[in-house]
Amino acid sequence: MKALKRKYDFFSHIYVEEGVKNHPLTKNILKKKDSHLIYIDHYKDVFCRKGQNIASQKLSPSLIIAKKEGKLIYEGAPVCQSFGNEYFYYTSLIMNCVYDCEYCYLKGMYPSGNIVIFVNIEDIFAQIDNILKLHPVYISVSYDCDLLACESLTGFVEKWCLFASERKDLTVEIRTKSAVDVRGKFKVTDNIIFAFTLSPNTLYAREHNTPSPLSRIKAASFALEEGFNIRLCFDPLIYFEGFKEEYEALSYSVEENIGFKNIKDISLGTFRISADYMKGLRKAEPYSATVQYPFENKGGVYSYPKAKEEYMLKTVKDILLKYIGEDKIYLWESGYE
Amino acid sequence: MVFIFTALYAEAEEIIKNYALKKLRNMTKFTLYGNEDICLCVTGSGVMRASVGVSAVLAKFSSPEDKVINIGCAGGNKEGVYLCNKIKDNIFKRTYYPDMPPKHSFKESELITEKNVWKGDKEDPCLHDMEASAVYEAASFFVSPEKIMFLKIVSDSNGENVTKEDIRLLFKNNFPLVQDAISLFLKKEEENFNFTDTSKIEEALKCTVTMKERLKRIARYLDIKGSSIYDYLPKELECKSKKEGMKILESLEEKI
Ligand code: SF4
Repeated sequence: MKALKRKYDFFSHIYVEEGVKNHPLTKNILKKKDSHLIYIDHYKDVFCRKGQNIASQKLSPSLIIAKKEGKLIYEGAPVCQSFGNEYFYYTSLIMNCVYDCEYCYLKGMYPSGNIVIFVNIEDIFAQIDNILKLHPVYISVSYDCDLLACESLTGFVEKWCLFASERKDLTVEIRTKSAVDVRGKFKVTDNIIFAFTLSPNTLYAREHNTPSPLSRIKAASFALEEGFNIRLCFDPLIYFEGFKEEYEALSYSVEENIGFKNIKDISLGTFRISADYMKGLRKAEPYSATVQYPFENKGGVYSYPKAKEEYMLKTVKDILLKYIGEDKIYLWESGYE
Repeated sequence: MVFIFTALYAEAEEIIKNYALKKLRNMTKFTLYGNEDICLCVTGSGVMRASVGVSAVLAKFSSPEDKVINIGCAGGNKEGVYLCNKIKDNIFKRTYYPDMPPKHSFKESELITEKNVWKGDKEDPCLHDMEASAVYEAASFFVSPEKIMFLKIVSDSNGENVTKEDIRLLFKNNFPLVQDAISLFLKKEEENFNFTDTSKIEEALKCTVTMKERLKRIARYLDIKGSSIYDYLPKELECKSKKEGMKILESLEEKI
């Protein structure tokens, strides 16, 4: 296999929309970074240029600071899990991720590997307050990025915790692969769910620049200790030799360090990606066995062949059932007939 | 290959001499100078000539792995050598952003491409030239934005007459920096991975177009994993029909 060690160099250049150059968060970010500064009219002038090399940008991404306009909150897509919530939304305050998982759909979804931070979180809060007048809201705020991994730069998670603590009809899911120790950092409230994505070692080796599985488990246990709700995500499941044994070991480690009984719920899903994104992803990851696997295209979504998918889900579910009730496991299935 | 475009011969002379570039005759309407790694073209001044020069050369000789550097003089209220991170076209009112190398030792500047020689403005922090936007626009048809670089040496602050000899000297004195910039792009990238040629298997299995695609995908996957598609195939491959071939393909998919 190809040598897979990747080296990263973050934010040597920061592009700032003229319109937000005086926003307090922009000023705060710029204070922390000694980067070349380039002013732009609109983030798309940089982010949406044609022919960008996503693979090389992932290794040395520039930062783009911008204002999010138009639709700020989206209804959940069919490939997302709603965890039984009727009013399921998501929003992206950051586009792209500081981590570099080989299988990441963002490499096929966005035209760039650079990272965009939208500073106007206050506008998103205002929209949520409007929706809350109609019905409760469940919102995932770390979907197309890893919000917690960027906390030292943005302070967004702190703001979400404060905002949620004052709105009982709002539930916020913050999904992460980071190992940030949240103790003493945020206002503790039971309508924030920290969702830690856990991967066994073989898969972790394909999640470049991420913290180790054990440090993620430790971070989850700290969040739990602090009083937050914890969700564990075994998603995406990706097949490799020794799959069963490694998931057994990972689950054992969760039981030892966190205790399954303390977990709100678990999400389980095999790798799937829209056919449109797969093209870009395969281009960005030409040497990744994970991505180059001959997946099947079912109705515009690439996923594992039925038998393999069933095997993977059943295997991990059976392992988890030794520790936790079925009612706490949310499965994503591709809908094979 | 690194393609270098300058407007004037005086801007190219030191590069030609130091990299021992040979004149390449009758390749395009433009005179080219080259060696194994570098191809240099003097386009002439102004956006039109730059655009035609870059298009003519890259259309004929370039591949997407190649890189492009525009090297030349610029007017401005500061001195020195700059890598340009923002190119504003004052004629068509467009702005371009080349991806910048994350590590380098140069100062950076915004550059404005003008139709005529810039006459100077004491308050203006930008550099001004007459080709860069056209080089970017033309080059971006052939290579991605991280493969285009703009290196400008400030020659004047008010459009005053700069002679060819002045330019030649300016480039001679700053040649070590020009060389540094070229080196940023001369670094070799990782060799491409050689994937298994599946054409013989395709033939033996009597593959349709879709079967060929599936077969190639499996071979590529196994190559990356460090094994080979041949480890998973039966010794006797020759099939009488595509139906038979399909059976082998399906059993292959089950095994991996
Ligand atoms: S952590 Fe998630 S968003 Fe970030 S690179 Fe990995 S898969 Fe993509």
